[in-house]
Amino acid sequence: MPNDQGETPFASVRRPRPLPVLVLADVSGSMAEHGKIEALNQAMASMIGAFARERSPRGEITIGVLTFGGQGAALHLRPVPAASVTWTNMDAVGGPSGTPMGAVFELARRVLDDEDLVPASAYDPTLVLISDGRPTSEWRPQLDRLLGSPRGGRSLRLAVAIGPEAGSAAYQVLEAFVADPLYPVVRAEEADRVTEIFRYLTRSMSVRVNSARPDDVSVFDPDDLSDLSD
Amino acid sequence: MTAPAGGRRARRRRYRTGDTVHDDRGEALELREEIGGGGQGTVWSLAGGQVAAKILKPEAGIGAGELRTRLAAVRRFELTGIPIARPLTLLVGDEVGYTMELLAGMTAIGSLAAVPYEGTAAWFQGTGGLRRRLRLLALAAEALDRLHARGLAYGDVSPGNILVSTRSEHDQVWLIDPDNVSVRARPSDAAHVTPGYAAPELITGRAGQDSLTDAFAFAVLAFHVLALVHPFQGDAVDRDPGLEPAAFRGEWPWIDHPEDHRNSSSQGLGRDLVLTGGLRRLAALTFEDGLRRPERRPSLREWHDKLDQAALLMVACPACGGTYHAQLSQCPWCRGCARPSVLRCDVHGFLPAGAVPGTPDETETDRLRSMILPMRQAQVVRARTGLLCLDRGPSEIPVDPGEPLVELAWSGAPRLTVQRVGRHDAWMVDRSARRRVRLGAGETWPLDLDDAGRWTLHFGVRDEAHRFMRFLTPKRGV
Repeated sequence: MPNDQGETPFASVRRPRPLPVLVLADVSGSMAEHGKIEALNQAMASMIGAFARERSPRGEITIGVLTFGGQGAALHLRPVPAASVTWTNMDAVGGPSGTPMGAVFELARRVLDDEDLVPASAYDPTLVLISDGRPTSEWRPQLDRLLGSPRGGRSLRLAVAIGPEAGSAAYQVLEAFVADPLYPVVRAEEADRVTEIFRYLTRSMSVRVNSARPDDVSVFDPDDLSDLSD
Repeated sequence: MTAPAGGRRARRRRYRTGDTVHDDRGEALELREEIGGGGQGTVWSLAGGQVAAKILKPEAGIGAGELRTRLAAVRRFELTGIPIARPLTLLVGDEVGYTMELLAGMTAIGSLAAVPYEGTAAWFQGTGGLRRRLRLLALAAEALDRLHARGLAYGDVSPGNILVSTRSEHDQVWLIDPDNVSVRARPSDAAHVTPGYAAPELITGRAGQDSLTDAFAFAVLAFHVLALVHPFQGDAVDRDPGLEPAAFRGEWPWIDHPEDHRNSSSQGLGRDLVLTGGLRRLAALTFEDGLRRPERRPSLREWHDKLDQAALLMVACPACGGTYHAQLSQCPWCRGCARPSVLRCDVHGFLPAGAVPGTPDETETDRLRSMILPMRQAQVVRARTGLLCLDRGPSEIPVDPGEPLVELAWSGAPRLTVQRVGRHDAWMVDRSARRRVRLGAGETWPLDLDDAGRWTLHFGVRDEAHRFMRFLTPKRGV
């Protein structure tokens, strides 16, 4: 028997490899309008609940939330297994920082590089950027550093534009973030479409965690994204 | 980032609950819930129940014509007695896919290896513990062995393709995705094999799916479900997901390799605890010699044999309910409780005089199976254990291997009871006194343990070769 007295046989049983999802959520003042932040909070809560119910021997979905708004960028939820999350709503508040997207890119890079937050054993992460406006300060160098980092470069990135139209400056930032012509920026002209988009994300993560190859991000079907942005 | 295979992407619709598809019998089928999905497509339950639809993705590269040919072949296969979803109808119109039988209340067998965020011990025991895992794997091995016995390979043994009862008091197994069942090995599209379960020769594209690749995938699945660690995900591979593909191609040793410790693992349940010697041997054969030489892999029949035997040797802890091998003197799960007293029931084969040319006297075989009868834990002897012959030809009703024959119970008093519970004959025989008593349906026979050495319990047809059970009591003072 390999176990000594006092240690249960389950002491060396590990959970499946983490499959991290990081949500970069815009909480600038404008998100308080038209029920946008409420829709986003609701969508987050139901997505986390669905992630928590996923059972696969191949991977365990972990979720972290980074916010950016008038008060700067912050780690709203440390990346943890979805089953352990008690969701706290985000507040949208204006402030001197405006829409500090550069700061949240920088924070995302630091989170991905920190092995205490995203262990070395994790599969490639999924980053989801949700915004309703254009950055109010420098963002390009921070984004380049994020995409140049080992984890950031290998991540699958999706972006949701709440409001901005294709071709606008704000939309182009989201396209630069995704940096892959296969994955179009998803546009939610109405706040309640956010829920639908998160349902899609939930289903895709569910396919991915149950797939034989959770690291193969191609199981996200870009066709589905185009349908959403129709 | 990996781009999806194929540059030009076929445009396709997304399916939602309430959508309707049509089949070649002219039925309109309403999609109810997406219950599975994988590389090839998605599986939906249908309104009305009992039937599921598998809708293939265009990029799976299977045309309606090819699928029709494949399913027509599968439908011609004789699958009676095998718990596999049979294809029913072909979808028509824009969809490529088919409908198949569905059982209610089933979940993927992979869920038995999906360690939850917290409460591992409660989850493990709540999903049936060790004995149920052994039983369900034995049933899956039995189903696959029956396919192999008919010259068919299942093709894609994976944690999502074998369904088991959701409720832990039920032990049903159901194979889905029958479209991969095939007679001959064909080199397959590498995009649709399941790394981590697919045999190395499938991943590298050197060979197609056959019974030997089924055997490899099943070995991985069985080891994972029992030990709660993947046999090729050792500490080195676990630290670096980038090493996983090479490990799954067989370029790393498996975690319990006796000499090569590069990929050894500090994880999982103790192998001594969850695998019998026979199961450890099958795993070692598959993952060492059998890694590169498919013909060395133990067959599904051997897996069924060892898994079934292991399940019959389990004892339940009266304190925590956990199940463990009867050789242990104490429950390894709660460590608070000594093992209950047990009787041993050995199954042998019996040949009446003259049944086999050259054997003028009656004779018996060595031990074929052993079953443990713990105090106050009744055990049912089933057809797969007690009957020699399950298929007696077209003139008789086929026997399901799970049919009950007798129930054995022992209260701890100096007698045990044998009750016939099924449609099959059972006999109590005292060979020294040439006495033979037939048990009627439902009849109970009390057997004094002092007499247990004289009486044997026989199953099936009296004057043919058959199986019988001998009861052994522990040595005095043990």
